[in-house]
Amino acid sequence: MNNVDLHARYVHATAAHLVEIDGEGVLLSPHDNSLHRLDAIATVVWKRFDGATKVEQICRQLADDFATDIEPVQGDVLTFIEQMRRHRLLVDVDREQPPVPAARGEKHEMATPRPLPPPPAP
Amino acid sequence: MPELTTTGGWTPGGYRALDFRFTISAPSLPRLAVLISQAFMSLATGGDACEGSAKYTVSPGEASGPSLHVDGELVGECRDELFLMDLLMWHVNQRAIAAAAPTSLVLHAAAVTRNGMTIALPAASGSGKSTLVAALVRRGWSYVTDEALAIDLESWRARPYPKPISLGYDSFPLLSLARPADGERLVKRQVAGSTFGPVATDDVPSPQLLVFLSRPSPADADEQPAVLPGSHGVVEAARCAFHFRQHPRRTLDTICQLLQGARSYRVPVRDIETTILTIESLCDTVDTVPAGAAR
Repeated sequence: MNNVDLHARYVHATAAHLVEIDGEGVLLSPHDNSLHRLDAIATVVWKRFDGATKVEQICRQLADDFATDIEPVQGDVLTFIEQMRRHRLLVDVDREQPPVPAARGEKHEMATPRPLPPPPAP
Repeated sequence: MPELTTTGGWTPGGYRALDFRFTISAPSLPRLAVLISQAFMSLATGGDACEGSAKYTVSPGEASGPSLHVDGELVGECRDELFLMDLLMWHVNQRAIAAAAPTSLVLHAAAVTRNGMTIALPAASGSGKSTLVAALVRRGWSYVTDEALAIDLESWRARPYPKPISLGYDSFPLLSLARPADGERLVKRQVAGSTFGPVATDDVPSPQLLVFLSRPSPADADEQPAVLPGSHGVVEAARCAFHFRQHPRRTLDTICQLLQGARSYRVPVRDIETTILTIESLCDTVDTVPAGAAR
């Protein structure tokens, strides 16, 4: 179960950065510079969070756009919101959200690649 | 198997590794000076060292082996010449990558080019990209780099960094060459790219084909080359970007732009001949219009 309110309104976290390629998205988290892959539908959903539209409205629009029942859409969107909140990528505009620890999932830690390793000790 | 043969003697003057300019002198070690000169010949500028160049000096050690200094500061002391060459290459690499960062996207990748087609092999150290590149150059591809692919953010072209190819002891038989006679396994040999074939001297198109190498487990013996979807390619390439943490947004945007004009594949590494034939066959699937040309 998730703790997301259908009446809440969400906005992208400041400096969250999306790039799109072949209809899919890659999100850069400003919090820890991690990358998150979004499939085509998740990319569409992400763009709907404008800080003004309630979650239930977004779900209704999506159900209409994809000609599907609203219940599974709501379930998927709420899960998506919760994942994004865990990574501090979405902010509830009506109440300040306390920081939520980062969760495991599709997060990609960005370790700095090393060129050649230092030579072995002579 | 034939032994590796190199040509050339001492090259006076300066060297350039991307934007990093340097000189190397080994006044008391003439044999080592020639070895260095042979390995680094593709980075030689052919002219005098310019002002501001870093000055590497190799000196005989008092108690141990040779030592390496840069601008008077000790980089390290080594057991022998082989280790010193490796240390020198490592240090030049660090400086070259750092110097290119302000103006370029620098990927931890090997690259070759031919007839307007550039192939990049982004991968971590130890993945076999240097060995593959040496084999590709032997087949007529021009050597661009085996370590750091720098794509200029203004011209959107890849800049050659034909450093010596760093080959492990076990890479030699894979290239049908005799293992080094000294028997030392711990250290990589620095071999001039021109030993294997042509070397790119001017900027080349940014890569149209990115090949991410995978090492299939025995259970995945039937793994075939697969197209890497765009978002996967972006994440994989970002993992190989030097300075991602310093410039995350710029790096991500640039990689996305790069991949919009390119194709990415995951290719299982098997024997070197099969892998090379696979990579070359993938070239037929891509357009040679340089990535980012539509900017």
